[in-house]
This record gives sequence, structure tokens and C-alpha cells, in this order.
Amino acid sequence: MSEGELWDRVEELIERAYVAGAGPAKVAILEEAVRLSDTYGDPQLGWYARRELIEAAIFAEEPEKALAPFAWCLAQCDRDPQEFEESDLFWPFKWVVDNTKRIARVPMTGLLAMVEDMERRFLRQGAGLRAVWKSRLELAIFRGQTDEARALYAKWDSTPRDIYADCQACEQDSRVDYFIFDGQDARAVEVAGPILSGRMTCAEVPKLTYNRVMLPLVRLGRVADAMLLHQKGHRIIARKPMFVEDAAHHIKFLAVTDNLARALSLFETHLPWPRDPLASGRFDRFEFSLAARFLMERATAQADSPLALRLPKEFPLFQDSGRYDPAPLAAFFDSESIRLASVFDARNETAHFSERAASERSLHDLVTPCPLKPPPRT
Amino acid sequence: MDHAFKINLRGIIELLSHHLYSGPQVFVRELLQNAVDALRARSQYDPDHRGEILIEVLGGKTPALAFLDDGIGLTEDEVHRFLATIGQTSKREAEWERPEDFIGRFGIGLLSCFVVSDEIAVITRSARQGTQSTVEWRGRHDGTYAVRPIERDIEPGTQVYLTCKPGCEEFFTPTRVRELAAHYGGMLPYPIRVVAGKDSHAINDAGPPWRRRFASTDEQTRELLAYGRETFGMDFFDVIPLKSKVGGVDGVAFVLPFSPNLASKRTDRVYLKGMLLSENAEGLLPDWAFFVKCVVNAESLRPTASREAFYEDDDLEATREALGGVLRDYLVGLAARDPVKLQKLIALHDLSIKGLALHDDDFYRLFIDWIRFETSLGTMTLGEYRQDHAVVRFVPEVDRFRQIARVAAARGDCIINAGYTHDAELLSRLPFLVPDAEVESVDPASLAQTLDDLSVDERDEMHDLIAIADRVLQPFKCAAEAKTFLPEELPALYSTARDAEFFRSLERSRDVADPLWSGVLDSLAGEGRIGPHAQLTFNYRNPLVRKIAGIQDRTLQRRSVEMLYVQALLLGHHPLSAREMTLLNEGLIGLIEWGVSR
Repeated sequence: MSEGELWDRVEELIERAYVAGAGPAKVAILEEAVRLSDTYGDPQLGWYARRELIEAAIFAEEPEKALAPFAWCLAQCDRDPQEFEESDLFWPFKWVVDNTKRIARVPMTGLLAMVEDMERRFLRQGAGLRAVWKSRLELAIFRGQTDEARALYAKWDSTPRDIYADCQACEQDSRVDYFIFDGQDARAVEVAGPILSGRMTCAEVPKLTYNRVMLPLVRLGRVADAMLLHQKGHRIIARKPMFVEDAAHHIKFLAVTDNLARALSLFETHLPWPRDPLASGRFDRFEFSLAARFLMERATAQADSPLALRLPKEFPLFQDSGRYDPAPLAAFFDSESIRLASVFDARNETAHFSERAASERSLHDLVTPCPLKPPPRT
Repeated sequence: MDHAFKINLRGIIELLSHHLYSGPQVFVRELLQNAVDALRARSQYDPDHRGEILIEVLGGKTPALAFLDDGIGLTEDEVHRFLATIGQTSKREAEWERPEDFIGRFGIGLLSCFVVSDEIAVITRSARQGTQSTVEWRGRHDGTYAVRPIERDIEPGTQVYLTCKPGCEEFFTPTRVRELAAHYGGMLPYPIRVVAGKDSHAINDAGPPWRRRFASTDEQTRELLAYGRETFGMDFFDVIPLKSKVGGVDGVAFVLPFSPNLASKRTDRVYLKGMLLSENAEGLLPDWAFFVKCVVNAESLRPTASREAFYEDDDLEATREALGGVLRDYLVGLAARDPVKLQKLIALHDLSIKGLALHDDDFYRLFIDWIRFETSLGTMTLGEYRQDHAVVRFVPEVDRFRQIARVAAARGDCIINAGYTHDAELLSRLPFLVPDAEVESVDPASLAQTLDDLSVDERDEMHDLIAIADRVLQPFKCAAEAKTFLPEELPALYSTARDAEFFRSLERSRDVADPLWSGVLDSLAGEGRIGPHAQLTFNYRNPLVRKIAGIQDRTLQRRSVEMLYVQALLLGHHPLSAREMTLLNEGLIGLIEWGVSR
């Protein structure tokens, strides 16, 4: 293949990826593009294809697949800073750091070293540190470190915005996340206002914010408002099995409001089985197990006959009949969530995940039936 | 008396012509818009008034144009107000929001004329109060203007006179004016005439072609296809009438006669209340609908500041849904009406069809069996596939499909290559949507396991070779095995387990990354680093393989194994890691040395 043909072929793959839309298929196409450029040893092309791949992997919720291309790109900058612009990687840097914490296999030392490296490189290029503080804040929230999170929130909030800071909508979403973590539901809902009214949007927001705010709204007694958010969010995620974590939030909300039928259909579509070995020990599996445990406990309390579910053969409790007693499913997801909680806690050197697995047992006290309205006809 | 603009008019004109508008010709759109606004305002006030727009091309030493309407007209007071609006716009250069009120819009529209004309005259008389006198405004590009009442009783309405700026002559010829008037105003609800001397042309007497009455569906299709040919210069595959209550949208969608370039932008022609808004508006149709090109009019969608696209809001989203629904219904109808035509359409536009099927479960159920897939036994529809095979088997990546396609075909196994856009996603949904359908994602490594085993004697013959190969390939996380399979000329089958490519890519990045990052990559690989994630299956039927098995020279045997391994990688387009590259180099040199020294 000549150099021109190679570029054309890679271009074509990137075009195909563009049409594929966010998801695993897009990632697979871009992996092929990277492979192709490596086969012919063209680092420029490899850089180009990898930057696409990093973004696609993050948005397909496959953060594992962003790391190798990212490390490769950083190495190119170190090797030839004239040819490869380090600051081009600053935006993906945030994605990579923020998503790697969701992979339990990567140890805390590695994670902290990544943030250090991020800070070092930002400083070296004269970039502002707002993005770095935000990454540190999110890590502290993830680990459940309340005092650290407070200090980091103040630090982040007082550092001026610059071109490497997240977009306004994402920053607002982080505020919402922080206030919920800090137990300030009312404040969180208030801060979420501009996002929920549609004035602040981006690729990730409002989808993420819907997830975060549904349960706080129920806790504040505003079930109808939460239901609106569910309807909007559900439209975005219902057909996309890759949105495991989002589905978990919606399953919980649906179980809390006693809409088990729709919760079960989200459960069916998003059940992360067949177990992808790369993704085992990923944060979204933990969230999903917690939500599924609660859903199956609710179903156990209510159903007098087994549930009809289409589950894949690879699922450990698979039944040929397609009929499932909810109680064993609840027990299965209980042990999954406890197992994953201990994996994460060991890595995070905190007890936050186990505490969450325990505290979410009281979700049953929050149950507030609220029937689904049929979606508005257009 | 003469007044002076307190603003830098040149700056504004510059801004208009280079940043806001797509080109100088936009002045025709702006003047038509002013006229339409005035006619609408008048019909609110006087419902029986019909209204028309006249454009006169005036010859002479300096070419000139006159735009005449019998709309609401302006009072002297209002003339002063539109000038004030022009003044304000300079303070908001960054956000060229069109003013909401009619007077302000009039002023902004007029400004665009300075791009082609150094001097503009407006003669206007308001229809609101019968006693209003006629007012004349004359403005020049240097920022001076004069307003005065004149002693001439004209019919209520507005007349705008432009004199040609040197270099802009092309916009003052009758042909170009007619062309531009038809381009922008061809769908306007008020009659437009262009007059040049004795020549008079009606521009839009026919109205939007899709609103005409047709004797039959066939006639409608024929006429609209002819309209498509005239508008876009191509023979379309088919035509679909469009309608949406939300947004007040109607029009036609033409089915492209070729597979579109996926990266190209949409080139729909979109009118807002009869005025051309854009020839490449985004967002009016769903993502998957790139198999059509549209001409539509919207009565109630909100344009953006530049008036060249729609503002993304709930109404636009609902309109998009509704128009998507029309296209979907067309496809469903075609399936019942003309299956042969549908198959042709699917062949041209399979990506659109697949995108829609992912988006809409009912459509999926109706169409999935029509969709064509590449298999190890040639291309076929899923329906054809399912007729002969109870379980739909696919490999979700092109590369891994290629690893086994030859062997599978030789065995008569029918396996789908689902590595293309949407394919794996579509097939994975099958059991959820189609009762009793079963799918299986095939792992090439496990397929290799199902190849025919060797006899006891054959195993003995291959034993040493496999033992050596296992040792040689162990550092590459590749296991060795011997089977007997077709095609005979294939010495070895390299197949990878799921995620093998992922581990290979970790290795390649590790080769170059600094210690911090290679440490992270190692932890990511986790247990995946320990076991083999690929397998090299030697083909006992292949004579070369049997020869290598019989070699007594262990070094040569080892080299041969290494070369077969590297060759299998290269055949599968796998990039070589630094270590494999070394293997290739040493192996080649070794073989040459061996050959030369014989």
C-alpha cells in the first residue's frame, strides 16, 4: 500500500467510525485504523487514528481501550515534541484520568502517578490547573474522602477557568455531583437548574445530570419532577446496552417509584453479560449490581409468579425456560455488589463502596409509587 | 436637513458581507423578506388586501434596481426608528440577533444592500393612517442620509431603489435578478414579478410543486421527480412527500440514486415561510436519513441569527421525529407494494436502513430479514441465512472474520462478517426482537478447536513440532496446535481470542511508553498477561508443514516455526511488536545464512 493509499484507507475507516455513532462498533473500527497505521509504521497516522480512538473508547464507556493509545501518544510527544503537540492531549488527559479510576485493576499508586504526571505536563506547558483540581476532586469523591473533597472543591472553584477547563455544562454537573456527595440534595437540585432547563448542554450533559438528580428529587418529595427527568433520560439510553451505569440509575429510580416492568426491561437490555473480561471490575458493574439487587428485592416482595426474562446463555443463573425467581437473582447481585465493593475499597484504601452497598439497603424506605405517564406523542 | 450615522457603516457592511451572510446576492433575500414582512403586516390590518412584489430592472448608464411592494409602508416616525435600530446593531456586532419587530428588521435588511449599492433610496407611504404623507429616505455608504416628506401621492407601500456599485453589475442583469428571485422567493405566498423593459416574468405563480393537485399517485411521482431533476440536476431513485404538523413542515424527500459519501454534509433545501433559508440545513432529519435529499418549507420553526439554519429546540426535535416517521412509513409501504424496488433501495442505502432499524424496534422486525450481510459463503440477506440455519453465527470484527473465513468456507460453515458499521449491534438485538431467533458470536479461537483432530499416528508425526512451537511462541502469548483442515495450501491458521488485539496493542504501547505509563498498562492487562491469547493451528494436510515436522535440524525447525508465525501475523494484517520484528529480521537472516552455506 502506498502512503497515499494508506492515508485514504485510514481516512475511510475514520469516516465509517463517524457514521457508526458512539459505541463499541465505533471503537472496533478505530482499533482497525490504528492497527493499519501501525502495520505500515506511520507515526503521524497512528497519532491521528489514536486520538479518535481515545475519544471513541471514552464515549463508548470502554475506558480500558483508551489507555494504551493515550500512553502511546504521550510517548510520541516525549520522543518528538516538535512533531507532536503535547497540549493536544490535555483534553483527553482529563477523560483518561477521570475514567481510569473506574477500573479497579489499576492500583491507586498508578492512578495518583497519572494525576501527578498530568499536573507536571500542564505546568510545563503553562496551562491553568483548574482541570487538574477537578480531576483530583472527582477522585476524592470517588474514594469517599469527604474532607479532602471539601478542600479540593474550594481549590477548584477558586482557580480561574482557562481553555483546558471543562465546558460550563460539565463543570456545573460536577458541582451537582459534589453537593449530592456532600449530602446537600436541595443545593444540588438548585445548581442543576440551568442544566435541567436545557440552557446548559454538551455531549455528556444533561444525560449525566438526570442520573444524579432523580433520587435526590425523590428524597425532596418532588417525584413528579424526577419522573420528567427519567422520561428524558430513558429516551437517550433505552436502546444502548453500553450505558450500563446510566441504566443502573434509571432502574433504581423505576424500582423506587414502583415501575417494575420498565425497570426489568432496562435490566434485560443493559445486563453486562456475557461478562467482558476487560470490563470485570469496572465501576459501572458495581452500580448495576446495586441497582439489580434492589430491583430483584422489590420484585421478590411483589411478584407471586416467576419473572419472564430474556437473559443471555452466559449469565450464571441462565434458565432455558426463561422464567426466573427474583430471590436468587437478588442474592446473586447482592454478592456481586459486595464482591466489587471490596475490590474497589482495597484499591481505594477507603471503605466507601462497602458503605454504599450497605446504605443502599435502605432504599426500600424511599419507595414512593408514581405511575409512568405514556411518553408525549409527537 | 442632513443627518449622519453615528456609527461606522463601512465596518457594519464589511461584517454583514463577510461574516453574517453567505454572499452579496443575499440582498435579494433581504429585500424580499422586507416586502413579505410588510405584506403580512398589511393583511393583518386589511385582511382582503392581496399584495404583490414587483422587481424592476432599470437600465441606463448606471444599472439600477427597484423593489416595490404594496405592503404596510412606513411613517416618517418609523423611518427614524429603523435608523435607530441600525445604530444599535453596531453595539451588538457579536450577536447578530435579528430584531423581533418589523421596523428593526426592515433596517437590518436594508443594510445588506450596501454590499452591492453605494446609494439607496426608499420611498414609502404608510397604509395605517390615510393622512400619512409620502416619505423619502436617501442613504449613502459613507454614512450620511436624509429623510424628508415629498409631495407625491403614491399608493401605500414601499419602493426601494438601488444603484449599482462598480463591480456588482452581475447582480443588476435581468437574468440574474430573475434567478435570484426564484432561488430565494420561489415558494413565497405573494406573487413576485420581475420586469425589465417590456419583459415581465412571474416568478412563483405555481407555488410549491408538492402542493399542486395531481390526478394520480403516478402523476404525482412523475411530476415531482421532474421537479427534482430540475432543481438538483439528477434523476432520483424515488420521491416521498413529507409532512409534519409540528413545525408546520411540508415538502418532498428525494431518494438518492447512489450511495452517499458518508462524510458529506446534508444538502437539503429548506424554506422558512416560503423564503429560502438554507441549502445545507442540519438537524431537520434524523441522523440515519442520509439516503434522501429534501426540499421542505417550515412555517413555525425558529431560525438562527444568521437565518441560515434552525435553532435546536424541542420543536425541531419533534419535527425530526415526525419526518423520520414519514420516511419509515414509506419504506414499510414499499415493502408491501414493490419488494423488488425495496431491495434495490436497500442495496443502495443499507447503512440508512440499518441505522433506522437500530432506532426503531418495529421497523427492525419488518426489515431485518431483508438486510444483506457478507458471509463466509458469499453475500446474502438475513432471511436467506435464517432459512438454512437455525442459529445466526457471526464474528463481530472484520479482522477476526478474515482469520477464519477461508477455513469456514472450506468446511461449508456459513458465518457472518459483522465487523461493518451497525452489523454486530443489529445481530445482537435479534433474539430480543424476533421470537425464537438465536444468535452466536463466534470466537475464531474456539472455531479452530472444532477442526478435525489428527489420528494417533499423525499426532506422533507432529508431536515434536508442536512441542517446539509451543516453546518458541510462548513469549508471544501464542499456543500451538495441529489439526487437519481445508484449504490444503494454508499451512497454519492464526486465530485470536476475544480482546487479543487489545493485549497486543497494550504490548505495542508498552514498548514505547515511559515507566509510569507502562506500569499502568501492565496493571490493566492484569491476568490477561499470563495465558496465551492466540493460537497457531498447523494444518496437517499442508505438505510444507509435514516437511517441517520431519526436519531433524532443530534450529532450522525452530526458525521455520517462527517464520510461519510471522507470516500468519502479516497475512492477518497484525502490526508486529518490537519483539516480533526482531524475530522476523533474525529469521530472515538465519534462513539466508542457512541457504547460502548449504
